[in-house]
Amino acid sequence: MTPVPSGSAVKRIAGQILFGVALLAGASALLNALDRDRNAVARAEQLAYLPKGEYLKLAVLGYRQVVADLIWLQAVQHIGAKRDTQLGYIWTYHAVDVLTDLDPTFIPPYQATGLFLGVLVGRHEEGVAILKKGIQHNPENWQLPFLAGYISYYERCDPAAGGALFRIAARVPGAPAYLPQLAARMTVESGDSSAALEFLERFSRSVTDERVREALFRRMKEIVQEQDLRSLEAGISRYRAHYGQAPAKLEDLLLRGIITRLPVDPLGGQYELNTLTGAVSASSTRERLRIHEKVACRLGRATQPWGGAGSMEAPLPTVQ
Amino acid sequence: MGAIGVIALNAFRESLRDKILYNLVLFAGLLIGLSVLLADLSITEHHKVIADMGLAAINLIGVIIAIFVGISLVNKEIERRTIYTIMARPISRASFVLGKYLGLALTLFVNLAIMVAVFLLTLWLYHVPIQLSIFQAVLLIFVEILVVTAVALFFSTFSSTTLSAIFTLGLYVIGHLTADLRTLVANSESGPIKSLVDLLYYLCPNLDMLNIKGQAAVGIAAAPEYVILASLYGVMYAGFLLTGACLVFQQRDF
Repeated sequence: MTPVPSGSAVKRIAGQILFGVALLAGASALLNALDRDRNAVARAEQLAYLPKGEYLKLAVLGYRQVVADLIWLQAVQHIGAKRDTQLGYIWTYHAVDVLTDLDPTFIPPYQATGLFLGVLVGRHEEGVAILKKGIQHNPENWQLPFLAGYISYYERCDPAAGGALFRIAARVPGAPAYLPQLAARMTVESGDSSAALEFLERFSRSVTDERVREALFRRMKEIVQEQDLRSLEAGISRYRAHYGQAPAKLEDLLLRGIITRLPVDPLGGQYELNTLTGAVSASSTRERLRIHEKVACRLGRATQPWGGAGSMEAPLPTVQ
Repeated sequence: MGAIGVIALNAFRESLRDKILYNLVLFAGLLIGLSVLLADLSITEHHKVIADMGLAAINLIGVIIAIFVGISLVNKEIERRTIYTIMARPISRASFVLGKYLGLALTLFVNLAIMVAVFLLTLWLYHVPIQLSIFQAVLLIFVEILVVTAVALFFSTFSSTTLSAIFTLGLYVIGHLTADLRTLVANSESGPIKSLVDLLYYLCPNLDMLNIKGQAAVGIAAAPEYVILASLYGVMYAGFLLTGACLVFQQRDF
């Protein structure tokens, strides 16, 4: 029979419980304070301290895949995070480089990191590098060379490198039937943003990760926006040539029949005309400049701002 | 010396008799052997790898001892029936639990101190700069070991040795993942899942907060306030578990 605790024993137990709860509450409050200290950027920084994959391989014994999964779990938090810094991108690259050393056949990290770095944040070199590593270890996957080809072709304005990668993708057994035609179009019609849009649309269909797909849709909208801005600016040039002055507002282009419709910003903002410079901008994005530089490169009227190897003068490769 | 002190000292002596400190030979062999092997690497990587491996070995060996000695502290007394002679004396059960904990903490401290001495010697021999960050990392490793010991002791007050080992190892792994788990569900639409993960986040130890080995190995010191707050967090969490251990142990029948 269990003895019934006396009144003082009950008090003692209650006191101990209260003491324990107070300690847990205190620890939780401290944890909250520590969380503020070690914010998302600081947590991303931890990725920078990962030892190189070749050493980590030895240390994790037979648990390479699990450790690769865990590192990916951490790295993926920073993919798409708007607050990340350029350093954060480098740490993410390092983490994915390490985890793909541990598990070279883990495809999603290559794909998501390639897309994130190479397309979304403008770190083309790292994006293509991680995708090329993936291609080397997974020659049976067509998406990796295709994405790398897209980055080279559209983001880096390097059609020669892009064409070579498209050919690799098209040769992979099981690659979709549309791929050689699309690749051919992209390599022949260099700088064609509608081809880029078609690529992204097709590519998004083969992606299962919702976040990656959302990022692709966002990129498609940016390209549509860029097309709109370019067509509006071309309209302004025509207006200026015809009337000797810039229009007072964008609607004037429509009224004078220069354009047939006023485009709507797909990112939800407004297109605004700077009457002094004649430039058009979108209120929804601040990154026009970066895209602008690439447009200049595509049109072949400026040197490439990133100092890449590609050139519009280079002979365009064709897909067999 | 109070009852707690006597029990602590006895627990310390007992662990010495169990030749716990023999692990140091393994540690020294591992660290020095590895350093010799890695000596032909480029100089900066060599430094980082020696520091990385040294800190990891100190941490791992400390945690292994904390778990496997911690779970047997109370159970061994019960299995050998020596608990009856102790309980027959005017010693409260809480004092017994706290004494055992402090005894093991002392063992772990001595063990850690020797490991750190060997580690520093290795760093010095291989011309690796010895910086404040190394000491900060070691301090937080010790706090982590204190938390793990408290976890092991807590589970051993109500379950078998094998189960305690499994639970403690499980909580150790979870302790390093709670922050990631919380970040993962942060975007979740489900309110109840978020609340559940938040509850788990505060209920389970967050051992990742005590892990600054990565930055320490490259010589980046943490802010002193961070080290103080993190240490305080570990000590308070260990206190919470010890209170739980005392409560459970008081209710047990022998």
